[in-house]
Amino acid sequence: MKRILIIDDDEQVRVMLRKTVERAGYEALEAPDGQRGMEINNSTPADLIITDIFMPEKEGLETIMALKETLPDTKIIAISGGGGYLTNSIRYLEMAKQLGAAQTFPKPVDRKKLLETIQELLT
Amino acid sequence: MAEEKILLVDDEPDILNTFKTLLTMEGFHVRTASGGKQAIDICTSEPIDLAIIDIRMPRMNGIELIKHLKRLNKDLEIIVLSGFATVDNAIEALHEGGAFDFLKKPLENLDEFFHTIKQALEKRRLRLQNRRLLEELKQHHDHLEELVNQRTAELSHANKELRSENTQRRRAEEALQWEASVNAALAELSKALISTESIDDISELVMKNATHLTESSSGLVGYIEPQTGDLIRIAMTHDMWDRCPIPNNTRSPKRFDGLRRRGENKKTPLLTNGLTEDLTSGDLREGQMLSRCCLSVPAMIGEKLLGHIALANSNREYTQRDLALIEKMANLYAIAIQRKLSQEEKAMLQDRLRRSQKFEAIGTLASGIAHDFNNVIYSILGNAELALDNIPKESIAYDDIDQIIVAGKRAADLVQQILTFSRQNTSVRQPLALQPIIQEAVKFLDRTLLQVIEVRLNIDAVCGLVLVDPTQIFQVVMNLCINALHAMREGGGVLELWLKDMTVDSKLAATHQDLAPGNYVRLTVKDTGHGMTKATMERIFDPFYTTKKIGEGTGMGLSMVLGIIKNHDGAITVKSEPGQGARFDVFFPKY
Repeated sequence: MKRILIIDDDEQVRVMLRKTVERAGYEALEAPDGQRGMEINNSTPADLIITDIFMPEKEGLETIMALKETLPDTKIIAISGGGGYLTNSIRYLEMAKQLGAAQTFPKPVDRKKLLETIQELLT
Repeated sequence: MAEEKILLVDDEPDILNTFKTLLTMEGFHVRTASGGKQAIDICTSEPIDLAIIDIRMPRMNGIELIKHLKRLNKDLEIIVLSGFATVDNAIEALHEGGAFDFLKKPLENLDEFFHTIKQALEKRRLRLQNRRLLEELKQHHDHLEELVNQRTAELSHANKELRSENTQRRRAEEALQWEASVNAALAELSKALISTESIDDISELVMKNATHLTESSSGLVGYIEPQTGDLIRIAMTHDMWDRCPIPNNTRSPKRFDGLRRRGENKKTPLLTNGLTEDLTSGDLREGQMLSRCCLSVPAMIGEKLLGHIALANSNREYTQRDLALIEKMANLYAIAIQRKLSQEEKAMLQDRLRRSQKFEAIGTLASGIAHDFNNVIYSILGNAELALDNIPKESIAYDDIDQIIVAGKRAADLVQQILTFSRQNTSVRQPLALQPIIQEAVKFLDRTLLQVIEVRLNIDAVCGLVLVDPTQIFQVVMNLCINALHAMREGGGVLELWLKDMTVDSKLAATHQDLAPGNYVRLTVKDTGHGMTKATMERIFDPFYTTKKIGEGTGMGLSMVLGIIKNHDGAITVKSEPGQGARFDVFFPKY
């Protein structure tokens, strides 16, 4: 069973995402920030990581960078709810892609597209 | 004595001879005449000092002769000779003819004879001397009089010169006084230019001094509105207000072609002391008024026409001196107008800058809210979709949950709309009640945090209106509330909001520099969170100052709040202590 790590500081989103991937047949792990996510991934490497961008402690872009450094093959999907233009989510998500995220989605993420992407990345 | 000439007149030759001999021996020049006619001839041809005349003579008697001789020579002394029988006649001669004395014939006493003669001559001498003295006295007097006249003339001349000098001095003094008045007026105006920026005050000052110094009863001071070219009259004498036929008489449209305009269009001053054609033509056209005399000066900087000073109906004639003064005033006034226009331009640019900064700030805030909202919506949508997976389509719950998804998607759209709206926002102020704005803002607060935080609203249903931009006020409320919630998110607490009318007195106003006495609507946002140190409190309104973690806040929130409140002519105060929560009071001036 493929393992997916979900990193998001919003607990409700995190739990919802876990249920979504679990019910789609994946094993799910959770982390409330990038730092915890790194630790979990080090001890129990995931096949795919879904990470939020804006988080306390280690935020998303840092996390992606760090993950790609240690495990360049890690498959990452970046998601973000930011929508403004000083904190421009599009630009951040673009940055995430530059840093190695395989796919990015703005929140709320279309479930169908998310699951399709996960399936594609894991086969 | 020998010089004196004596005429003897007697018809008796013996007496003549005897007397002549006696008198000649005494040293007198003696002439003799035997009758009146001969005596008159002698007296006519030569000077005789004394005549001794026999009173009784044939043909012309002595008395008659005396009258003749006296007519010829009024200084002639006369002694009458008389026999006994003619004493009465002799006395008559003394009284009427002016004879000096009379002697009786025959002579009894020679001494008496000579004595009488000498006395007569002495009398004559004295009389002549007296006359000569009088003459001299008169001459002296005349001389004196001449001197006095001359001196008087000199004095009069000097006086005239003095008067002329006085006139000159008076003129000089008057000129000095004018100069002093002009300098005082210009100094006052210059001072006003430095101390006040109010174009109204400066216009009134120009008006006051210009009409006063030129003794004008009518005056008009104003500036040219750059956009329209209209003259905006700021200061005007009452007669102009009253007599002006223009309905909106603070604005004189460019098309009006009165005297003022003609001078203005040529950008040259106009000075006339004659009747203006406005008056002679009998009826006034639109925008014109009667004037007896007129002084009109454009206020210019270089070739740029900025304003106008127009004066009319002076009590006297306008002079070049008046013109020079008003030109100086116009130069200063032009500076004031230029400054006013520059300031308006600056204010406009600042307003533009403020708007663009506001846009940024709104965008920041909106994106912050959107971020949290999107998480909330995502969790609603995601969970609803998960739930739907396990519910048969026939189930009643299926439709209910489907409605949650529909609503969630609407909410997501709304967030996008707010973001779009915040980018296009333009500030429009209108008199509004604050209650709905506050209630709406509270609805937007993070519901997850509200699980541990109680919100209490104490909003007076009846509050004064405030001239506000609702979007901005929404941001103020949101910012204050978000900060309050953030301060309580660890341990929970109570967020309290108040809205009430309030009168600020001078005592309260003195506690805050942005606060003036008056009527306000006060919004209070109070939390029971971690509070602030004094050092933090001093910096919270600084841009980009934040105590939040990265990604949680931009540090723009409170500085934007302060900017908005200042733009609304309001004030914000803060009270806090570490561990004691914080309280923000926002004062909006009542509309």
